[in-house]
Amino acid sequence: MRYLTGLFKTIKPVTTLIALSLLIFTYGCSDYTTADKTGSSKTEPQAELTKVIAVGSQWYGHIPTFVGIEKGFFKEAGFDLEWRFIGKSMDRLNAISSGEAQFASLGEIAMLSAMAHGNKRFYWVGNQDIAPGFEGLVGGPGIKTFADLKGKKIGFPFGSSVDITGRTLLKANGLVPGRDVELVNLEVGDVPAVLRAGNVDAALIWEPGFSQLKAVEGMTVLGMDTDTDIYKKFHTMTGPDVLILGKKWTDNDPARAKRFLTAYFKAIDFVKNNPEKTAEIVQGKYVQQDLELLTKNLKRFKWLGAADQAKVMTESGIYGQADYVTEILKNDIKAIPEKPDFRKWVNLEVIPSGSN
Amino acid sequence: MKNKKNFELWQVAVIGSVGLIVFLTVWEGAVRSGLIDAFFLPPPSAVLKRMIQLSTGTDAVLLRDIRVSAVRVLVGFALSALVGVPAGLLMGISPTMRAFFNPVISIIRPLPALSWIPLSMLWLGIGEEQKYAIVFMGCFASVLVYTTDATMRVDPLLSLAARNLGAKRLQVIRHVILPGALPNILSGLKVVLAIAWTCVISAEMVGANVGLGFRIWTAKEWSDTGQVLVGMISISITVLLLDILFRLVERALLPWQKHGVHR
Amino acid sequence: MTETLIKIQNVSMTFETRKGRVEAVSDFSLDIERGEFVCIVGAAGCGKSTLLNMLAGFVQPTGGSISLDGDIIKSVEPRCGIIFQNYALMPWMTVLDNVSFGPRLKYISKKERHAAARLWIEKVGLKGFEDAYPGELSGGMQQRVALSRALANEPDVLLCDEPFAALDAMTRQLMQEELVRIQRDTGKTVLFITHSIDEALLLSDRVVVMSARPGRVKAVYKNDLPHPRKMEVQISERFLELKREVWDLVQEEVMRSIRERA
Repeated sequence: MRYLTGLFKTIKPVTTLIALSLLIFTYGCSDYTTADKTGSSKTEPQAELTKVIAVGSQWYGHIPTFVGIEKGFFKEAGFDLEWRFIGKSMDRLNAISSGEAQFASLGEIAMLSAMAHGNKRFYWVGNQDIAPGFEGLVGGPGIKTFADLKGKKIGFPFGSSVDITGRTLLKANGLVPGRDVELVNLEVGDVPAVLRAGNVDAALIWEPGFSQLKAVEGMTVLGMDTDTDIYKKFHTMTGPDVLILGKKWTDNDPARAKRFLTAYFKAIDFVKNNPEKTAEIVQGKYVQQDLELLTKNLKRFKWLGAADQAKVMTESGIYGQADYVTEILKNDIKAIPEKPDFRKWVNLEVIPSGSN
Repeated sequence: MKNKKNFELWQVAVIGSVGLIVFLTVWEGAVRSGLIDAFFLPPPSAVLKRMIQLSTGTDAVLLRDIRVSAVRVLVGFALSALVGVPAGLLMGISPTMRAFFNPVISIIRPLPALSWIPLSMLWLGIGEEQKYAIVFMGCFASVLVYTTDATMRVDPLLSLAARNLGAKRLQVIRHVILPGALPNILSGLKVVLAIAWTCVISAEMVGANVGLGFRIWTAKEWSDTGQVLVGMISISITVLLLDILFRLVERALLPWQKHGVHR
Repeated sequence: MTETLIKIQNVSMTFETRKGRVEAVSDFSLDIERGEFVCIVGAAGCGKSTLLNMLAGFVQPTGGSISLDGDIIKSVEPRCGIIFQNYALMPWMTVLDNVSFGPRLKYISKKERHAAARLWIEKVGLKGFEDAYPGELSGGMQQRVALSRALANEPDVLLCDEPFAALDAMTRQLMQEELVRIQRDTGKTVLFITHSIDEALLLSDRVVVMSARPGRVKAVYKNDLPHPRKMEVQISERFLELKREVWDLVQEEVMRSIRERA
């Protein structure tokens, strides 16, 4: 017995020591890997692949990244690209701001909002698609017109592009949120089920949920992003996809960043020219959607290549639209305190010039 | 206890205030000097400004958020106590009940409130009932375990004494077990009340348009770190106030407890 | 004064434990008369407490029988009020509520039971402490509350389980005198368990010495010391003589139990 208690007495410090050293070890490891992820290409020979973490969701705007991985475009350019799922735009941007991830595509709304709140840890390096007609407001059974919405509940993911689309459409139809209709925050993935269960009366959603809901009997499309002033003025979706690079990672080696984007735009070109093949490549592994719907949507999707960027990333291009959106964010939604000068976040130098 | 230095209440208040002021000053200074990026952690002054913005004028949403969340917490918590305390007493008294229910409770207890979101939405939709249900599920098993434990910890000698004085089984429960377990049940409930707040924040992640959790989650979507902090601080303050309230209730219910000290 | 109140006949008690059968009390017989003050002394673990639990009806003997006023004790017996070593007061009840707890369990009206309780509280010298909680009282005061609680329940017998063992010497002396006074006033029958021979001789009419486990009656002494048993009595020849006799027996049993355990 005495022997046993003695043993326990010695075990305690030993286990504490083991636990401590394990902690230190894992900390050391994580430190090592982060160091490896960023800015190591200078010291390492060209043959070694540079690790890059890209974050995204199942939205079509990320498809070029998947294709770039699968077709080996990134590897050819010297990058070992690791893709990680992060569903929400702002979470992706925060992952980049923290330095853990280096590249992402995300919604313009989240980007502008982050800028307005003073996040300076990223660059805006392009706009790879303008795809209007992929999101809208769907009314459940009994909701056929905007007038039917009075006193009802509308569910959607707050802070996403449909937030703007929805509020713009409601305003245009004389409905005031909070007074005439109740808005409810939902996760993207929950939207179709929640509307079908009748827990909300209408929902705002983008693809593929939009097509899923349209196909359900009794559902009515009340409006789409193409019905908004934003589309009428600029012929874009409400919140076009934007490309984001980590600021530190880019500044450490601008040439490397440019090399990376060159590989990315090579993937864009492939997707643009081969929608069917693209659908086959990404379906199942990256995008869990019906192949037919995916192919159809990919053919409708309007991709912008490297050569287009010189036209898009200008005052007459997307900047005007971004200005207009920040106006809405500040005055209508009151989501941002000031209109940010987003041009300060643009880094044109790392965008490849491209050739058509 | 005896040898510890005992401060007067005002002394504690002064030392505490100094601690708080130092903390806030260091925080403010670290941000102002650029040591910390204000986007990552807005300074206290900015948070205070945001708090005033959110609680006055046309955008006064904060008080309503606090009220709605507090109601959700209290309803879910009260329901869990209403079911959990009697059930826990029963389990504390009867070894059969304990053996029967323990496996199920052990399965439910470790589940975080967050994990109940999918099922609760499926069963109850996205209304208030669903919010109550999440708080309830997050609290119920803990209430049960605390109550069972409190009941079992009542000195068996007291039950013996009561029986010797002629108490029947139900009288022992009513006059000995219940009042004897009450202090530990109450301190268990106090812990659970704090758990209830973590549950409500989870519950308001989806299917909400008001509440402190909703405020924090949507502020995150807009990258409004200041508003996130306002939400967090509001939770702290509300929990603190509820805790004080709870202590008063405790004091009223257990007049004999504060005395024990002067022996 | 010769009416037998408690009749303990060939009582034995065996427990089944993980280590096997344990015989705590074996073939124990004793008659106690109404109004008698009997002290039981014995080595630790001799089955004194088991005997008390059987008298209170908490456990049933595995052999033999115990009867109270002619009725065999088969269940918890409120006519035998216990004074516990650790007082066993309800900490959430005031002194008044503790003392009137027994009558309350019998649904006696508040007015009536409080009035009775006040009398008992006064009798044990706690007037003015009716609204205090046990936690605010000293050990001696708590034991007075316990005594008045037991008495307020109007038992025929007081079972005392080393009630003064936890008190300091001075308080113990006071309590002993108090108990004797109350016993003589009320004429209650008292069965008092103690491991102090002095205490037994100071209090009792008879001293029962129990053998080491399994507990049996080893010897019974008639305690003929005169009352009141003040200091002079405690240094008298007769006192010392009795003490020596009892001590010799107890010591024998203590040595036996130590040998057996070793």
